Amino acid sequence: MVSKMDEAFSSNTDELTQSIEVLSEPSATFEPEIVLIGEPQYSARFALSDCGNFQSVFEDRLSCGNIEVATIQLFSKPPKILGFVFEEGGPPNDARTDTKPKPKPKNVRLTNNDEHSSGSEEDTATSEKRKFTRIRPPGDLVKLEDRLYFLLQPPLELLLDNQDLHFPFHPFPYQLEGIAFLFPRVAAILADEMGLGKTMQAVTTIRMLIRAGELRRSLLICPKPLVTNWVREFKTWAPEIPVAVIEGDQALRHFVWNNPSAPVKIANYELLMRDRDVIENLPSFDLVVLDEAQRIKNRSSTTSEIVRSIRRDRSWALTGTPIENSSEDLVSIFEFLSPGYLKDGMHLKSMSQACRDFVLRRTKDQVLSEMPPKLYRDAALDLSPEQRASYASAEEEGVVQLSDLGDALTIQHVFELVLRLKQICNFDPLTGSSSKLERLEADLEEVAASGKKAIVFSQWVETLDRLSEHLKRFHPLQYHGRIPSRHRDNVLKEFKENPRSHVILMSYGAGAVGLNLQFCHYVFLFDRWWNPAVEDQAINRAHRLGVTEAVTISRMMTLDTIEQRIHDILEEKRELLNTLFAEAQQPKNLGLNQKEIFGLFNLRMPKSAAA
Amino acid sequence: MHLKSSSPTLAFLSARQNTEIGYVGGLLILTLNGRPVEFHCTLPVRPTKAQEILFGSTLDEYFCSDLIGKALLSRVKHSPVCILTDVLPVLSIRNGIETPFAVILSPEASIETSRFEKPSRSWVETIAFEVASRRLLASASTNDVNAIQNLWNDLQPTLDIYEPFSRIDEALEEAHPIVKAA
Repeated sequence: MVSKMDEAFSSNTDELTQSIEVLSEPSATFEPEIVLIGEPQYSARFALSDCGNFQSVFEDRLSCGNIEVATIQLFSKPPKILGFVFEEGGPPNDARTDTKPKPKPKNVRLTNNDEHSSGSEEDTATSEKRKFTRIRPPGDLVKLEDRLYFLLQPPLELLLDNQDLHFPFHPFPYQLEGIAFLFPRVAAILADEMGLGKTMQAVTTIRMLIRAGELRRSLLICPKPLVTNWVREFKTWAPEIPVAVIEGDQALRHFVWNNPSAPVKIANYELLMRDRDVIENLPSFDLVVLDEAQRIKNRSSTTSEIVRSIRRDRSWALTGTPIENSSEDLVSIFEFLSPGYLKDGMHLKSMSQACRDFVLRRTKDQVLSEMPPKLYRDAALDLSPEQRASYASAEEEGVVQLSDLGDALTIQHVFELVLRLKQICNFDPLTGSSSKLERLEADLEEVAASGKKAIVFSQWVETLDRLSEHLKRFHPLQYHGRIPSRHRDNVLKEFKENPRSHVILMSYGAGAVGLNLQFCHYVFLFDRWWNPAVEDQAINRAHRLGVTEAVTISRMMTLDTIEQRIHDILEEKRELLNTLFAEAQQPKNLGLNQKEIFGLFNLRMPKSAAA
Repeated sequence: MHLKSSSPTLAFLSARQNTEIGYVGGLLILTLNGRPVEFHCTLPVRPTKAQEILFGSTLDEYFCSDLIGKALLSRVKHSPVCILTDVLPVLSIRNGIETPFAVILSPEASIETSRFEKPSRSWVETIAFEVASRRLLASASTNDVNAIQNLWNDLQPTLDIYEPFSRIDEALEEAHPIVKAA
């Protein structure tokens, strides 16, 4: 104590250097008085509480003879306080989008107080080891109260523990992060790689928002073949939430569009055009979710226009391939989320930074290290002699014809030649000879012998038909655009349950998205699609959550053909997606542009096409 | 402190100290299942040189309890059934209030390794006890141990009582970015 007094005096008055003496030590008596005496003319009086705190400097100025004594002020003023009171059961209004107050149902809470989880005590006991997932406020949320509201929410793990939510299995940690990402956002893209459970994350977030009283009218738009899949996912992950599918004749559709009782409506892209007049007159939705949002990558398409015209407070886009061809695809999706936020021609790095807070993308490699791997086994094949002869003839004639067109040459002419050559790579048009088929048959023998199942993708239904004829011994099933929608679920069911059926033949268009075929351990790409994103979608029908074994992917490519030339470009395109979301260097190539398509045959791009 | 009566809530009181910015405190009021209903935080208060010297080892107690703790509790609008803190020096605030009060020991830390740089030597004699699988300390001169244990048995809160302090930490960083920067 003596030394502290020394310091105090020294720090305040340079002249006070003499020793001081404590006459009274602190005791249990409240506010004992301590008188510090040095030279007779210097003294000060301090009081200590019984816990040792200084309570006061008793005298403002101590006068000892003619000496002025400095007073040490030991009390601080109470600190200023920021205070926030939150409405229980719902967040504060979001100032960014709400121009009118949203009525919230009273007493709607995320938790059920009446039914405490029987496992809560055990969970709490082990919570020290648990990693908690928190809801983070989005970057564009400015108001401190709103930001704190989200930050102060309980971790999702505790919310899920407390609620009487029945899940078929506990979500993976990355899925909880996805839910925490979507929950506070009015504009978001969940761009997880296919198979990571975007549907489940969206359904669960919708469920939580409904329970929090934030959603009363939600609209989900997906490709038509996926409607049944979404209905099934809602039954699995949010069984208590009524879902209305917009389908049937015009009168029925109008009734469902205007039916206020179902908090979630599911529509498909295809019917938007037919119901455009109804949609434009609907009251605002609290949330509109686009599944397979790459469907609106063409901004000038009617579908995109209609989707953007839907009045809504929140806009979410789900897609495993936010960029299929170029960064303009992403700009198009943002025209739905936040018009004008991204612009064509933005520097890739700027775009990456601008969309960082809006886009969440995880790959299987990042989050599912324990997931069985994808094993690529590229099959580089030589054309059969018959195919080679047909191919050489067709290419030679085709290139000559294209060259002769001069400035009348269009990209459609080139496409026609590409497609003709690709078909020859599948089957010789004269003899039916096919080196790919030979290889496929050999591989499927092995697949069938081991009791496994395989998916074969082609871009042509005619090719699938021919394959079906040759693969009868494997009891093939077909799933493509010519199979009526009402029969498709049965096809999948039979394929899954019939042990004799070892292969399903799918078109990229019908089978590439939304299907869960994780019981298949082999995927054959009989021919290649134009961009790798669609191929990835196809592959991930089998390689997705729930898969128990490695998935072997055979990408069939004939050497020294148009397929190989396209393959080389596709590999460069694959880098684009990784580049934009990995903040790496500029991609080498943004896609199969017109110049490259003409370049497939060493053709000079005509001026008319360039213009 | 005048606490209004409302549905049962729990108060979580914390303070942080940093040599750059001084002391800040936060008070989070939660429902029994962990939903936030109130949050208050102080602006940073920095001790003077004289205070640092003269308060010595009682400096934390003065700032956390007498200044920050009392100021925060004076703003409470929802009456908590008990107040929990993760900062031992705050315990002395118990003298001025009637609400049961306890210090939660972090899973890793002992009293001596609290979030403050200097070991706290609170004058309050404490009793250790356990609630919801967490170790707590309460003043020996009160009936808080029984009161808190009874509350837990009666109300059965479903939250992890240590977890809210990480929310307070993040909220303080959000409200005062300088806290994070420091």
